[in-house]
Amino acid sequence: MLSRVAESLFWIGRNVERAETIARVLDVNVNRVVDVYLAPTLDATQIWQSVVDAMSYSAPIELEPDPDVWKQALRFCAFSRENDYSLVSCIRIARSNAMSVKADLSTEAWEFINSLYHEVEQTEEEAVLSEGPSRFLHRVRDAAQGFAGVTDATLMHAEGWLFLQLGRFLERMSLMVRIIESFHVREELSSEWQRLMEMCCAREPFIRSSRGAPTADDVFAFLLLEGNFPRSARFCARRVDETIRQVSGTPANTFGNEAERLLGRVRAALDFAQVQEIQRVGLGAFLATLREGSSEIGDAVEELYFPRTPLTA
Amino acid sequence: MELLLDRYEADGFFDEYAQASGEPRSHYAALARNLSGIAGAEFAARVQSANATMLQRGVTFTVYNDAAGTERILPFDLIPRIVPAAEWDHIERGITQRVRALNHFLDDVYHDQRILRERVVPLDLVYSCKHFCREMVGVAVRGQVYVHVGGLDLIRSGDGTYFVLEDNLRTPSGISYVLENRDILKRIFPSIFDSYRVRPVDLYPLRLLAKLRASAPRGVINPYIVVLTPGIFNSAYFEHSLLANRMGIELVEGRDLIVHDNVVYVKTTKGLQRIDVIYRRIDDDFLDPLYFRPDSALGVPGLMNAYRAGNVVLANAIGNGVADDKSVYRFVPAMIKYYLGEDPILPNVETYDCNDPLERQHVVSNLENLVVKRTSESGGYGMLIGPASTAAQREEFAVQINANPRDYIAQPVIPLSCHPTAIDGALRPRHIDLRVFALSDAEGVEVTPAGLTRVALREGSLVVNSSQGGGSKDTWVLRD
Repeated sequence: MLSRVAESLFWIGRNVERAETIARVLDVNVNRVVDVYLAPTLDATQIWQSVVDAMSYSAPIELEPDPDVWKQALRFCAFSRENDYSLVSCIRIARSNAMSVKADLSTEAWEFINSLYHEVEQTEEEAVLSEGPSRFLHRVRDAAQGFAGVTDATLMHAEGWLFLQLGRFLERMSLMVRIIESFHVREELSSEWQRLMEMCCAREPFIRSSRGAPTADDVFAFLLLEGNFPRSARFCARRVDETIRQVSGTPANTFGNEAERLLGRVRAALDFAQVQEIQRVGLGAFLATLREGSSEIGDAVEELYFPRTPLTA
Repeated sequence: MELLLDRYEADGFFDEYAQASGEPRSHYAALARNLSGIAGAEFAARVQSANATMLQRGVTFTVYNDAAGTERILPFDLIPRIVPAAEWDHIERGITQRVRALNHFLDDVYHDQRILRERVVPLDLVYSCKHFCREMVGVAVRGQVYVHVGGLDLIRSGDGTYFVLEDNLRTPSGISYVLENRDILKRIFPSIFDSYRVRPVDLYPLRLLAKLRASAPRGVINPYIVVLTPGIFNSAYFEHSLLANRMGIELVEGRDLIVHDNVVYVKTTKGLQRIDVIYRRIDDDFLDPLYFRPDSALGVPGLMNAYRAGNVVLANAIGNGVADDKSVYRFVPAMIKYYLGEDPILPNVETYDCNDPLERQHVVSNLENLVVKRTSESGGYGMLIGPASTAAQREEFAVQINANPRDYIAQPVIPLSCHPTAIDGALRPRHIDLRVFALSDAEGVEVTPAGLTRVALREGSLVVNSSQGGGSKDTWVLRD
């Protein structure tokens, strides 16, 4: 398929995933505002600052201490048009990419993202902030998941769809790592841990799969290493790896390009790791390796499939 | 409860719907029945639902000279225009004849120039035409097909005669509205079709694809065909993506293509792939910065050489603008006679050539009764509509015409036919035209049994262009 089309699909995948996660993370934190005020160690401004830092890749804002600090965070992370990583920007970017590859999308997928774009554009920031943002954030989160469903159900599971998947899971891995990195409570399980699990959409599956009284190590092991949890770093890395190999045709356990080589290393680190071992090198260092790894994989995919320099015949 | 059809009154022009008695014409009688129980408010709800569907589908266009990125829908009037089979037969024969003659003319002008040497069409008129493309002289065009897709504009005068107003032979647009209007009308107002047998429109993309396949370079059995678009900011982008999607071929931009050794390639994730046929929706001037506008970033450097070498087919051909130039228009009936030995089936609108001193004199002293058009402009820009103009505007045009006579033609004001159109919950007569699409390959011309009816929504207005406040209607071509 056209390099440009593949690239647009990759970015649609990334931006829709980003919108979903931003919506979830903001919603979880708005709902936890009450708990946060009761927590003895952290105040709301600090927590919201960590959310803003995790959800923006460049030039995050400094929040001012203020009872309505969440509104500052939402203005920036949900509604700012200057912030390319805000929720409205992600939807706009995904939709304009979709528009440029409309001919390659299914009509249903195109109309889905186009309707969402118009809905988000017509949403009034002030009304959402004064009425409470939950309804809006849920709507965007659900729609982003719906887009994944529509594309899975209506597109050929061929190259184009694979690039959508690639963007989606690469972005998910990188966002998971960022959320965990933004989390600074290290004491034994408190309501703060619930907040982390909810931001990662992991509360329910974690409770179901954990035995007895879970520890902090159990939480990190679940979020990073659980093979069947669809947002764990390990799950995402496996999906990215499988997808890249389907595009290139490279057999498993070998590599045919830089992206596959980097992925092999990331997968090895996740597939054969134990949480005690991670704690020995330090969680921070482990997360940093994963973050850098996913960023390098992204660069390698771009260089391989969407080269900036003209191809020569 | 006010009914939609209450008090419809024609207003003195040829009315497509109403006879002189006020009764509907026979082919509109069933439509009147289908609308008879419909209240204005109910109809308005359907209009709203049609508009929402258009926005959701992205059936939008960008208005030039407007704030950046304004997406608008073309107002869609739900009352269909109906063309009976016998009338369509006349139109079809007329369009076929005309497109055949225009295609002969292009082949002749870029090769033997017999028609110029025999002075049927003046040589200096052709050579002074902005769209005459010297680089095309002597270029062998596959199958001698220049006009793969034509979009001809018809109007009806006071007595109901169909005239050809314009031949659009470059990159005519509008077919996406034909497809979408029909699809949306069927969904939101199915009962309006009761008792009609309307010819379907949705075969168009596959017919176009068949013509493109048939025009592939010699020896290519399974051609790689693409649609070339200027990109998402073009006002017809929706149409480009719709056609690519329905034909199942790729939509490319200039930056996706590369020319090497006179062969055109597309950049894919698997490397470069050779392209055989390009249905291009980029104007000549922007196609190849090496030949045409050097500042164009939309085109593909080297494309013209690949085309001249016969390695790629462009649809439509380059240089077609010389045949749909507004001042060449008046010679089309002569072309039909010259190439086909036939009398024109569809007449031309009388046209004054400002380059001729006598005719110019007539034009300048009768501006208030004429429509003046710049020969190089289209889309309703650069026009003077005499009866609706101010003295100052007429003065300005008179100066311009005397300074650059080759750039202007004038035509009498044709009282375009009217059609019932929903305005604020009631039907009112509004002026309309009809764009008809013709597809060609070396075997012949095929007229699409459908059309784009454009309607001037402002009361009394004769300008139907979408950029000037026009809307569109579904157009039903009936079976026998």
